[in-house]
Amino acid sequence: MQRRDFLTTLAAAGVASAQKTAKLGTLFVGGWQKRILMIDEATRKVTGEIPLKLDVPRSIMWNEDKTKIIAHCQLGSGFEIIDVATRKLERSFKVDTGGKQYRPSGFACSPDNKKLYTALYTVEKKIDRFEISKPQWAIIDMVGEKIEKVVDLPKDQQLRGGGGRGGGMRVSPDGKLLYQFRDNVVIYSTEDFKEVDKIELSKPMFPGVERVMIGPGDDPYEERGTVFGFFNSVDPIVHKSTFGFATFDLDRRTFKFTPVGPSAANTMGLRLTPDRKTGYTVAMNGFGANRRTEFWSFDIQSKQITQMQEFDGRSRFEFNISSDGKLAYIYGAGNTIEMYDTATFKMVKDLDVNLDMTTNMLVLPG
Amino acid sequence: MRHLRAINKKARRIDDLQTATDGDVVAMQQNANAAQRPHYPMGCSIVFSPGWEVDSSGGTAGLCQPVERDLYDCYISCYWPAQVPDHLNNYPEWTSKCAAATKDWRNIDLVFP
Repeated sequence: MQRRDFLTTLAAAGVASAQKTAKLGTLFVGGWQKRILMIDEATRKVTGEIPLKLDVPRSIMWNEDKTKIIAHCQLGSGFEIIDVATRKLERSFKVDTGGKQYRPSGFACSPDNKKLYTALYTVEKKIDRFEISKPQWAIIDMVGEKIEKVVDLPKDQQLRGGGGRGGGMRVSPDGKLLYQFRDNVVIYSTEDFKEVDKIELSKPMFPGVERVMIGPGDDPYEERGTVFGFFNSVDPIVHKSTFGFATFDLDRRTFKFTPVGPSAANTMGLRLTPDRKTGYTVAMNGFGANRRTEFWSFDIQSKQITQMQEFDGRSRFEFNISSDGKLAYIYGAGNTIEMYDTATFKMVKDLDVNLDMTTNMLVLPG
Repeated sequence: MRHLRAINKKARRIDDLQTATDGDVVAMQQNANAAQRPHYPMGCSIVFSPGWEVDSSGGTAGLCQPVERDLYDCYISCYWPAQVPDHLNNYPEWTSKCAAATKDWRNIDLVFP
């Protein structure tokens, strides 16, 4: 074993042992009308709320060192910065200017916490109409509280959206590259959004890869530079759809694909336990009244499904797991958080938080 | 009649007339060649229903239950063009007394344009 590999293994072992002791902590979720709720995982009760200044939060994300929560609001394309230690709103600002409004979708934070990278549309008010731009890349200056740069996406990359609530994008550990995960992995320079490299997944890696789905970057244990997600592929002969695990090392630009089994119509994204040994997702098959919603658990080492359990999934929802990985949370589109035991997938509590949730959930381990 | 094909101009015109009379309107669908389902091209507002009566498939199974759960998530998270007051520009406080729509819907303000 080379020295670098040995040190990497040693560091990983240290991190893993620290992660195994993860304690229950606090959940943060944004809700109607201008609030971030705090829920204690141990008591399973709402313990407080952080009032916001601008508007209804649409998404919340960690900054790089998880000392701040960045809430994005629709009105004025506003941002509200919350200090995690004091649980207080620190500052708020809007980036819309004059006749220009911005519609961002998905964010990635720079390692120095000074910039956010996003894909957006610009809506410009003209004398007789609103003009909507082509999809663009943008840098948001979080210190200067303004849009620093806007660049049109190349024509072949002008797909709608930037990956939802932070999904689909990661910044490299040195802050120089922006990775966008879709049907291919496209690597841009964070300076000017010029395409630096493109990894065509469907060709050399795994036949027929259609799309890579990585998490929204809110995993409290995710280390910068390592990304773990799902991929879907369809073989070109009989068009059988398969899903599997995709592992990315952004430092070395190495990628690994391990097929697992037949694809579900939709999956909610992969959530990993603190020791990174077990993964969970929610899979949905069927449509309308015929939709089946199931919890799936995986053994990450062997890359196999270990359990599938149907449950009564609400029509629209989001999914997360607790700090210790022992509870699965189903929430969103309503005022309740359903908590399921991940060993049995039986519901253990239906927590009424008394407001309609409008953002994703952040989990802060204790 | 599916095994019959129009082979001359007159027959094709009859065929077109028949399609125009009985065929579904697909003008505002994003993909006119997609499998035909009941479609609500731009959300529920364009069919001028108050919203939330039907889902995108024309049924009700895809709706939130109870239906009030959808009220805020619909147009904040999904940009579904639901028929609600203009929260961003003209009526920012229309729901300020109603945090959980399922419970407090009676507290929603009346809005008079």
